[in-house]
Amino acid sequence: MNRKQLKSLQLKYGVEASLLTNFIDSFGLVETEKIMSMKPSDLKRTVRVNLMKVTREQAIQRLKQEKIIAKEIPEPPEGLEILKGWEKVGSSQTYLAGEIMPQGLGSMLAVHALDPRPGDRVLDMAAAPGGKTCFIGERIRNSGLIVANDKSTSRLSSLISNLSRHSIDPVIIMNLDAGQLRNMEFDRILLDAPCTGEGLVVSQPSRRKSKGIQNSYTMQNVQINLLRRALSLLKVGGIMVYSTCSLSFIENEQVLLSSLVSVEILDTGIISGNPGNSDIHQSFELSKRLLPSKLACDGFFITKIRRLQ
Amino acid sequence: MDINRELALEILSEFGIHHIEDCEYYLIELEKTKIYTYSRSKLNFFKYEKFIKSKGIPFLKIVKGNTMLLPGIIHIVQIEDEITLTNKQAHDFSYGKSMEIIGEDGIYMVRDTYKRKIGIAQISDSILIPLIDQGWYLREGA
Repeated sequence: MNRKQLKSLQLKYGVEASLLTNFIDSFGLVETEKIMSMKPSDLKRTVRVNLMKVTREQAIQRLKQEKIIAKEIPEPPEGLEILKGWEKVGSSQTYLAGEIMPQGLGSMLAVHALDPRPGDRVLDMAAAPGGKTCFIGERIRNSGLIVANDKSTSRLSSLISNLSRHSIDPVIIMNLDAGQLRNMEFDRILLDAPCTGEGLVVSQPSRRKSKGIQNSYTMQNVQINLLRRALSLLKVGGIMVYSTCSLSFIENEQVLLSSLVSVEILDTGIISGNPGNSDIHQSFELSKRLLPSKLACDGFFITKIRRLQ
Repeated sequence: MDINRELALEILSEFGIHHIEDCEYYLIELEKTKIYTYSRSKLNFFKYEKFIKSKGIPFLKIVKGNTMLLPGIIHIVQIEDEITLTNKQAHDFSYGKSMEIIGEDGIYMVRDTYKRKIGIAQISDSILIPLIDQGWYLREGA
């Protein structure tokens, strides 16, 4: 593609030049155009059902009483798509009672891949606002321990309120730079790493201009350090999920590449989504990349790993 | 004897609450704030104490001598008297609104038509006054 064509696309979709080039290099022109032509309303709105309180069928019925229409989605088994009444979800009694949580497909599937079990000691390294932490608590059936850490003090309030609403109580909430965590050992770790968020270009169009490829390289350093710290806190044989809401290879496969010597990449157990980039390393074919154009959700990347040494 | 549970009960008695579930109770002290929390699990975790903001779910907060109930109390409180609200009433109650109601004066566990615990209220002179409701965090933050 020549400079003129690139400039034309840049203007058409309102995208920062290096971000657009990186998308085209990564996913091809056709897929990039599909993504960039999407509007926020093209995305599916999803919630997660708290199966400790109600079944999916009960949640659908209760939402219907509140004039909110929902249907089951193929995965995870807690997921619902809201077909009508999305604007009422946040003030619904079903929500206030902690029976549902608005949550994107990628966030749900990250915890689904982590597959926490009752009795596990789980670390959620960047926990606020707590949607994934609640899901972890529901999967361990409130039996075990979750250490929910977040660096941001201001974001802890939403974490606490979500845990309270969902009755998730085996939780210690910490306010620490995750890079400072030491001398602990966990069965499972969720590292939903800070990222440029360029997978959110559809739901938050302002991100098309605010982030370029240089931001991805800046975040990569942070992500590599967090990944190494996370692995040092994971017991040998323990399971970790590394996820981001960035689609870039720079913030995902290339981050993981730095630690491949000490881990085994595992199947995520997720059915939907595209495989990771196996040109970077063959084992990334087990990773999952959720493209907005394929799944009508925010872009997301998920890799499941086991610590070997 | 769980000293934190006893201390919390002493404060809760000011709200007419005299029984809470038998579980683990913790006291978190942060500068000028004291927060009582509960968990049904023992949270033995001694590292980084000064960075710990909560153990389990907060249910009582004391800031500069002012005591306030938090929604977590709804999960552990034991109150014999219960009142069930209609959908419309439950909606209003969850927004912290008082309402006229028929009932004896006293402290009540409030439920909705699905029997969900949605808050704690006092009835006084046929007015139902929320002490704490499940929508509190949405209005007040944490």
